[in-house]
Amino acid sequence: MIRRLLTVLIVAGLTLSQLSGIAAADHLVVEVAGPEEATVGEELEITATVREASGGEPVEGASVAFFANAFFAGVTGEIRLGSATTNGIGVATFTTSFSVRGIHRVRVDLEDDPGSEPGAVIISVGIGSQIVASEAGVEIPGFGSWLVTFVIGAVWAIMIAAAVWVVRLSRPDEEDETDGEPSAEAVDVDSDWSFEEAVRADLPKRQRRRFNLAPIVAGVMASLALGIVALLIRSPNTHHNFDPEGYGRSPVAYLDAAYLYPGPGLADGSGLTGNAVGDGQALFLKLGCAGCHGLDAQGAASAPSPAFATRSWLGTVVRTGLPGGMPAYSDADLPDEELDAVHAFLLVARDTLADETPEGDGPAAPATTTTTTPVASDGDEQPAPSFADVTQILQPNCSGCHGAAGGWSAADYDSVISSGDNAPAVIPGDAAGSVLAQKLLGTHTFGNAMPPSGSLADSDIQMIVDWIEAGAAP
Amino acid sequence: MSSWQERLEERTLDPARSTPRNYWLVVGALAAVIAWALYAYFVQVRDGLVVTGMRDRISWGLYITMFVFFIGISHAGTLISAILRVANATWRTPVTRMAEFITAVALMTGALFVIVDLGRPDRFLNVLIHGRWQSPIVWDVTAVTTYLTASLLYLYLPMIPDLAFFRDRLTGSVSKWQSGLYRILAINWKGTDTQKRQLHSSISIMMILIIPIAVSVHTVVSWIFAMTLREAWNSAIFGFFFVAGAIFSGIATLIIMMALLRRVYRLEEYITQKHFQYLGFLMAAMAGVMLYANISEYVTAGFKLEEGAEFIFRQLFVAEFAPYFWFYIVAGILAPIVLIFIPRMRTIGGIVAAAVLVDLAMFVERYFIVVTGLRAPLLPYEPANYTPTWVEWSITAGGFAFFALLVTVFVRIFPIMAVYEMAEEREELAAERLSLESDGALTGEAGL
Repeated sequence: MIRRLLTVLIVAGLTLSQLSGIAAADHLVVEVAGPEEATVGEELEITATVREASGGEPVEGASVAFFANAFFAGVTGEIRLGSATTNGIGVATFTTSFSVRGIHRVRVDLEDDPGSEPGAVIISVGIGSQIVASEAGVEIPGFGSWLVTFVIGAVWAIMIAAAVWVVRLSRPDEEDETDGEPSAEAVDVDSDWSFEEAVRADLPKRQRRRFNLAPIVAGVMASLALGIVALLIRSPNTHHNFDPEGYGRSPVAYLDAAYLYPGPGLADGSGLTGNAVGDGQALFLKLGCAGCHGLDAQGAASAPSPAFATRSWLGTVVRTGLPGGMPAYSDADLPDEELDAVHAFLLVARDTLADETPEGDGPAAPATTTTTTPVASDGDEQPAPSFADVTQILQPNCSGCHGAAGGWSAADYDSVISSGDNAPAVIPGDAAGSVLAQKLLGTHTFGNAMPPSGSLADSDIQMIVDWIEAGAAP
Repeated sequence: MSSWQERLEERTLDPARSTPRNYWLVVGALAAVIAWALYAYFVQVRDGLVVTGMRDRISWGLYITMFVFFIGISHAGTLISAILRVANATWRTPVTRMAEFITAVALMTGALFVIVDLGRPDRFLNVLIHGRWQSPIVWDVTAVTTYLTASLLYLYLPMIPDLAFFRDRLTGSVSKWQSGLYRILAINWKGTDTQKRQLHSSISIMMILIIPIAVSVHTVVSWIFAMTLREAWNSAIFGFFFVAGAIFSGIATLIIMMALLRRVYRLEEYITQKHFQYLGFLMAAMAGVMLYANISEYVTAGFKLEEGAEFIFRQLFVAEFAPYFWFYIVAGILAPIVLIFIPRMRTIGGIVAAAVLVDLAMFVERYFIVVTGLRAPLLPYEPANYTPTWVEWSITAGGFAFFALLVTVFVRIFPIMAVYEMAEEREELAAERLSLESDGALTGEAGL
């Protein structure tokens, strides 16, 4: 019996060691290597070496996935770059390039193996040559900047030619000597008065060869011409698309909504009706709230929905603004009565949103998803929610304030767990003791319940609680 | 005969020799306005553009109006001087110099307002550092620079013989710096035949080249608007429209300037009613062109009345901007035509009145084109409104004063009329008469 058991164990052990990658799952370490510095558009080779934690044996045939941090329209997360498989010495090689400058963190993790230790490399990407040329428009063969440059160059060349004539005429002595031609064309007109005689008569001889302006004029013109042509020739094909600091665009957009402004009408340009809800909507549009919060106050990637704000919270935020971009409106911009009207509109918007929101989703979730999807979750059927699920709740509801405002940040996994003054916000396995869950459930011991605009949907809170209870996996 | 030349010489030399009455008064008043404008500009640079009426939604106002208006009136020189020179219209000679002055001075004033419109004027350098040829701003900078250079050269070339004339006649009777200036600017002109030929070549090149340059400048200025995604500016005829408007206001400004200088410097003998009439006819013809352009512009858009156009049409024709628009149409286009085509009204006074109306209307037109285009909301906002502040009015007044001051100083120092050309023309006329009398073909006639 014991012999038999031993045999089974040995066989099983041998089998497992054959299927090394999977069998040694709990003991694998990923080491990542890559260049520390690179330029935009440069091809980078990132290598990931998978070893056993004990012994350091390389692992062959393991599939590793490469992730990079990304930011888009106010949402931070990771994007999956791709995957590779390790070779005989346990090395997986992956080639990629970055189109945005900045600090990039590439994380490499074993696929299908959450227990392994992921590795990461930090790559600082600086400005390189232009990598993206606009494909918009119709390209007509033979037309391009050279044509513009040629036309402008030709215009200036002709102008300089005219100036050169002036330079020549400013040296009459030399011309007369070298020319030699008799000026036969001169018309002899029987006139009492001749202009040039009048001019010649008093010309003092000593003034002949002195400071001459004409070459300077021609020189200035030539340098202007060169400058303009140089400006045209060296102009880039497109904007510095890889340099968002210089050409940053506000992420404000109207998501999933089209709005046609009907015009103010002839009689009354103000657009106010006297009806609180209607006025509130007009003010919501007029003041620019809709630009970030959505036309129906449904919230968007750039700002959360304000529809669930209480009147007093609305007053606080509107008067003081928030560091994430919410401007402050003074009493002069927006008197309290008008703020009442806005709130009246928001109450109506809340009901509308609640009606439209499908069951199970948070009422304050944005009407559309954001473009950058954080790490994809494995599926809805998974018993324990992943961080990907959680971040989809946290991003629209918390990131509007948490992140830009300092303190706890909902930006990424690490910050959700451990940032802020009351860190850690999440104690894996202990939802009741985690500040994050307390704030959402209302069991908190300090400060206010979150979000201030009203509690999340029960299903969302449950998901976050479940996630924490299950170990708060990344 | 001889008295004619003497009088011409005297008249032209007079302003440089003797200071006209009230000259310093005028210069002082203009300088005071400019000083006030400089203070206003200082306030603007110190506090930022928030001291103007411009905000995020209506971000162009009086300054851009001034820019377009002055680039517009700079077309005076091109039309009167270059086009009429190419067409060999001899009546133009007494007024060409003034037209060319207006061109150069108006261009300087107009270009200045682009800088004034910048909240951070130092960032103008970005156009040079980061300029892309795809950007209409770069086209604008290129075109205005080219035009300014060309018009300065074109002002200077025909003036060389006159400057030599000043050099020779005025040395001794004017201050030292002034005669030194004439000497330097006259670049050794002695009136030899070689020099004449060379000058003629140079002028011939420039008179032809400057016409397409001038057309390109105002086309590009219009494209600053037309290449923007704005319903009101979404027009294919904008280039033509702006060039026509530029020539229109250029003629009007020239007429006003002629009347002023004629009175101040007693040029009645040279600038006659004939000049006002001819320019008046040109102005009326341009008014007709403008009327046609307006009909063309608004009827095509108004017939379809696409989404968004209705708002524009309303604010322009019946709502907020209706007074401006109808003033422009009635007083600026129809009234001048009437004034010029009724013989009894066709006096110098009547024509000058028409010109003043035209300039006012063209300023107003530039203003409402700028503001109505930006006023139509692109985002679901209520339309914003724009009211210029004291800073903008002050700097605008300063712009006009700068223009007037430059003209005042220029005509005081430089030959006010093209003496050389006028004299040569008279010689040609005499030669023609002579050749007709002797019935012989005239060979080697210099066309200039």
